[in-house]
Amino acid sequence: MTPMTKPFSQTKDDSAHTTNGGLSPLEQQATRWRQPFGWLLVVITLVYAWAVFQAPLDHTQGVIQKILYVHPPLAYGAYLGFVITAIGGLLYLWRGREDCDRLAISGAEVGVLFCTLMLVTGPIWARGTWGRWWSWDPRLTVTLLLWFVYLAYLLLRSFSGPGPRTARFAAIYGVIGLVLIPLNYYVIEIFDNRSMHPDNLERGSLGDGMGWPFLLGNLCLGFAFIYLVLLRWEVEARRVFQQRQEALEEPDT
Amino acid sequence: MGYAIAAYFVTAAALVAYGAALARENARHRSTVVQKAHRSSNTG
Repeated sequence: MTPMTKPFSQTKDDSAHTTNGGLSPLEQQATRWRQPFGWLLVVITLVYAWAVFQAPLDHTQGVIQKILYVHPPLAYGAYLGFVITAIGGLLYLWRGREDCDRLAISGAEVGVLFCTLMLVTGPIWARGTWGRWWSWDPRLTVTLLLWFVYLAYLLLRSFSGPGPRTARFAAIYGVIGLVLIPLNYYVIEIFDNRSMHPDNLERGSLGDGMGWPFLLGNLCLGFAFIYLVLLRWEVEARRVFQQRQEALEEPDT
Repeated sequence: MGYAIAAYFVTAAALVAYGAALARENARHRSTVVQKAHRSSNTG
């Protein structure tokens, strides 16, 4: 019986990556880039830890204000992950390349991890300064919504199985979900600063001696983000390849 | 002080645990491919 849709294993770029463990040329290049990133990450992490330790104490909040050097960088990582999901999805829709679809999955997974950590570190900071873990403030609510949207993306990918229809639907879903990022960023201004959450950081808004630790925090978590996305991308390619190999080896029923 | 340490500890632990899990899975897939290639070269 002829299948109604073309199996995912017979789409455009599935042809001849069998000698490379299923990695496309782009994925092979990403794997090569991952190693130096790992070493750079180790060095930057050490410098970052030292910078946070040395950073001056805030007069109002005290030590807890040092969460500033980890919480916003996690938010930027989450945004970047979801942007990668949208770009990967668009490239998949445009060019039909499976490696772009796999990149979209990787961006979503690492983005959700960063978003989860943002949603954990934020309430820890809130408990110490506001006296409560959570508030249904516009920024916090939209962030939670963003987290649910991309968590649903991951659930969709894991429960619906492989196939071009799933990949196409997920690509469109990933692009539409992106609307929440500018909304999340500007929601404080939209609500005319009635939010409990502090305003977005601007140039010069940090105190003396706080700029460098903040920059290093962004660099460190940015490198961690890139490293994890590249590793997740490679794992996804190898996992799909292995699944297909096993399917080929199974006797016909 | 405790809140700040908790925030950094949770972040570091989660990122390292996730990275380690990915590295393990990657190594498992790589070794499976190598074993299969070895097996097919022996039988082929």
